[in-house]
Amino acid sequence: MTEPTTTKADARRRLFKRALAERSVILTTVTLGALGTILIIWQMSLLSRVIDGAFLQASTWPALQGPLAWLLTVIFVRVALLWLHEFIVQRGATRIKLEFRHKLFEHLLRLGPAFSQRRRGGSLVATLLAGVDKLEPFVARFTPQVLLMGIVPPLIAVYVFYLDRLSGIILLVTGPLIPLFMWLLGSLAQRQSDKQWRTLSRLSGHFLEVLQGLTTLKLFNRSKTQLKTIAQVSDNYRRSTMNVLKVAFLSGLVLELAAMLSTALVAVTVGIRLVQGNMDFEAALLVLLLTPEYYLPFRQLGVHHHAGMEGLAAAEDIYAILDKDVPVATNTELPQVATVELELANLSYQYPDASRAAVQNLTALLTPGTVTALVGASGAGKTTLVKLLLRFLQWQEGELRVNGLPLSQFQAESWRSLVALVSQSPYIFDDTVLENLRLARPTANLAEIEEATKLAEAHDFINDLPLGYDTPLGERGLRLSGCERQRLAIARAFLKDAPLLIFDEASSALDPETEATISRALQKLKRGRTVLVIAHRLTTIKAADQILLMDEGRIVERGSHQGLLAAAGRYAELVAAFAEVAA
Amino acid sequence: MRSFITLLKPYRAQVMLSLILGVGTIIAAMGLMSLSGYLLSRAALRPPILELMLAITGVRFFGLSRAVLRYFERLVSHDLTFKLLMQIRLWFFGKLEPLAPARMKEHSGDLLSRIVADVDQLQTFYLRVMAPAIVAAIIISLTTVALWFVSAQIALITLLFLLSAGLVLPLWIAALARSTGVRQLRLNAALQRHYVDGIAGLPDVLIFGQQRRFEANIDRINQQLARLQLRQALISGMENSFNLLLSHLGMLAALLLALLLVIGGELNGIYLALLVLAVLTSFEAVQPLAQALQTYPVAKESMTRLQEITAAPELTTQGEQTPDVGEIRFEALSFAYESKRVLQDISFSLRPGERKAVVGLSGSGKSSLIKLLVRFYEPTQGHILLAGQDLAVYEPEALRRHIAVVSQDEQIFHSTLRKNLLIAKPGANDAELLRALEQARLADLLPELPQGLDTLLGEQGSRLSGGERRRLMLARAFLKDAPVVLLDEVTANLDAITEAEVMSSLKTLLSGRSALVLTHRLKQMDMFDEILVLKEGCIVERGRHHELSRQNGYYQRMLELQQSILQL
Repeated sequence: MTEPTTTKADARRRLFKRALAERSVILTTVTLGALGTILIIWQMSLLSRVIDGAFLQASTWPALQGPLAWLLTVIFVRVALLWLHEFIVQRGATRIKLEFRHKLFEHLLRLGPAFSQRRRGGSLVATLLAGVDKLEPFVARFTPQVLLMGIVPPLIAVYVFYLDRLSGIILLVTGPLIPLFMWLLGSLAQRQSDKQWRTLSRLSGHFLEVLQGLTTLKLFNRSKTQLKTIAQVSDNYRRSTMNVLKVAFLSGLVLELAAMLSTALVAVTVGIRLVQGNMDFEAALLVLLLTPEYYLPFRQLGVHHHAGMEGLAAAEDIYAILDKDVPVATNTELPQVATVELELANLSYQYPDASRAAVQNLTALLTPGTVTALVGASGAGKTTLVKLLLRFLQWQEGELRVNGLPLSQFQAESWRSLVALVSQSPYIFDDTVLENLRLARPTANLAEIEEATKLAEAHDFINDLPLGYDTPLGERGLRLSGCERQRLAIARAFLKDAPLLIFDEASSALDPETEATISRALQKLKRGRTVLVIAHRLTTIKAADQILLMDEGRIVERGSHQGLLAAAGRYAELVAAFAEVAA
Repeated sequence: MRSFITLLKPYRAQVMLSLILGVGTIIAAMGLMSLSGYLLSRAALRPPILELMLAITGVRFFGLSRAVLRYFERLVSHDLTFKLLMQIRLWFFGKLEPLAPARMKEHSGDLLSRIVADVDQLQTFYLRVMAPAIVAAIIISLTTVALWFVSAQIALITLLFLLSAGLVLPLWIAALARSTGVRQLRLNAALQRHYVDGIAGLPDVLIFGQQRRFEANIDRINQQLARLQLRQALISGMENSFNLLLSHLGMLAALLLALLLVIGGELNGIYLALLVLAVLTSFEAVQPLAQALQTYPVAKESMTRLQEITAAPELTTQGEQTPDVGEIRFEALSFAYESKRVLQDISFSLRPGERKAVVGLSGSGKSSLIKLLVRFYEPTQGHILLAGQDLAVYEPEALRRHIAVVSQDEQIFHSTLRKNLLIAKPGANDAELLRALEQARLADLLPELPQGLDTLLGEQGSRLSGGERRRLMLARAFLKDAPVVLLDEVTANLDAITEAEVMSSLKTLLSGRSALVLTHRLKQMDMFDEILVLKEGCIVERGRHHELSRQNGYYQRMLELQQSILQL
């Protein structure tokens, strides 16, 4: 399977296409852009007529009043149109943002934890929020501006050409040169500035690292010398960035130079023809007034260019996620059963960029009412197996069978409703204790929840919280200790009441009292269920009906404690070594 | 923002230059258009062409200079921005360094990133707020004064419109947007919470089959947000359109007044075009003020946050003596942190060459002992004596040379192996570095690194394995070669084989030094002269391993529990 790559050009094409599909944005930009241009021409005609009237025609008030009233009206209509345009364009951008957020989150849910856990913590949330927000300037500013560049200048140029051929030619020749030069210089600077942005984030990274390591530096009496390093790193960055900016700003220079020199050229040539008597003042002034309006869309595009490019970079990220393949899901629901007999038949899985399989040819039978202990060093494949059992990953070979039914042919959700997991680090949601428990059974009433927390021996500590069951937890709420979290997870498992239980035993020593509580709760939870324990404690392992010893992705030994001791293999060695340490 | 302006002081000349260029840029644009208008008016009267030469030259000059001035203005102001960034970092670090780690420990990684973001935010303050505001003020004044020579009324009406477009409009729009802004912030925060929960808690969401409910909740918030953004679009749409309105109404008002003067014969009509175009183009100066007004409170907030962090008084009183090798005594020491009791009535001593262990679960207060010993904090009650004198009489840096600390949260920098080692002993030669690596049982690593000592170790030392990182810390301690060693959970979270390797190099480190070892893993405990068992900040048991393990107390239960865990 090859990972699809999303290029910048690809992202630009797709985002443009999506923005252009927003009909209201395109329609309003085109019609209001054209209408607005006509109004500009009208306004400037009125203005030059009034000035001409007062200056050369010696017009009196009554003659000027009419055009002045129209001037006022045209200004108000232009403002109203602009307002309307901005509103409609923003509305389109909002719609697009909404759609992208929905698609992205839905896709992330389908990709599952296997994808999101490989990404750095906040980066996906940042893409969903800030990343999607950055699309707005692209849709609401950049795209309309590109369209306007195709509407406003041609209309003005045609009118100026009609007024005065020479000025019209000046505009028609210089206009297309601007995008050309900007594109040439832009692509030159783009490559360099891409590199520069990476340096910038590394620079911020350096500062962050110095702050993080301040304690360490101070313990070695090295913190004060960091001032020099910070100054040096910052100054190097300034020098190299300025070298890039010298080139990057050239495109702005060309743009301004073209616009301003052309304006000056128009003014001078028109002025000379006025002196020669080949032109009248009103037309000459109108040409001068329209010239900056001709270049305005080009300059506006320059202003919004940066925001547009940022949006593009964000779009690249977003499309890269949306392009990740999700496994084809079936909709067939698994029959909801009261007991689960789980069969692992030659199950294998290899991570995309790994050199060997994480688990290989796993075969085992887990029957109702029995406990299976999964034993192995970290990296032996225990965690991968659990992810396969939860169907966060899709095995490449073999099959999982539930009561004889092949799981791969059924919907993952309906299977997960039969599984309860007590992990070492259950996620605590940013909500109250009650809601965090109710997650396991949304319909549960308070009595049922209290019954579960009592079984999990969590009721007392919850009652001791400031607001009891209504205490907010998580990000903005109270932070629970590790063992409180695990007891909450056990309570969730009681509430879910699923026929298969996966229990991840703590790998390091807990406080003696907590240890006892958890083991009592687990005893109760085991009853009547199919249980798989990722075991670390000898007592747990001894009590299991079946032990699976894993090493390098394979099950290397299996059997009961006594049976394995008698077999005198790896397991027996481990226990012997352990007895030595304990002695 | 006063302290910010102090940071600009070293660059006074460059600030002046950037402002002059900024003002020049706008004057060039105004000059180009108004002089062109004047040129056409003069030309319409058909004078000899030579009389127009001055105006023609002026038009060409402004046309050329506008673009060039703008280019250099951008270069100078951006250069200044980067210099400022450096100054802000130096200023902040200089303030923070004496306070660390007391003010830092309470800040999680997120808050540190927040600090970095705040510092980055401040760098644009000059470029986006200060420079545009000053340039606008100068242009507004110059325009008003220049117009005053023509007519006081025209000057005043133009001033009125310039101020409306530059100040009143943005403030009014900000006031209109405030209520939706607050609601939007709240909805955005809710959205972020749901996304964080949905992504970080994805395994739990899926296991409990809650994805539909999560999606529905998020869609609901997004819909509310979209509705709010529509209202906001109505308001933000005003920004550009009302700017257009004010600049053109301003021009129209100036035109009306000028027309009255022309008709009344008080003004020559030749100046009409010049006047109208000067007024219209002067609005360019007030365009960036809206953004400046938006950025100002954000930058101010960043500044306040940074100042709050650095405002705390320094923690330690500093002595000047250099410590001698001698007995360390904790005398009836108690320590509270943010009114939470951490240590209670701790008394013990560590004589030169002695090894003592402090055992207890995480949260029992062990690490505070170290922080007190290196004077990152002050005891609430009681004393710590070194060679018979209170720690406060010693110079803190000299004290920290006397004591080596190895802890699991020690930082490994995104730098070379050499630089990471040199932190412990600046100026050490290669032979010394190699020796330290050997002592830390890390010399085998060298042939595996492509550039040997000069290999980059990656972010947080990501190139190294957990055990290698721990041994690198030990190598630093060997280099530092201090008479007292404090070890904080150095073998935590390692597998059995790695743990054994780290233990063996640790033993070398401890020989001939006084050592205080904090641990919750009870391994090879018979090497300690005394073990202190800490529970909830109090010493509950003390003695040697063979005594404690038979006492049927807390220590013995910890031991039993740990021994029931099968280590693989």
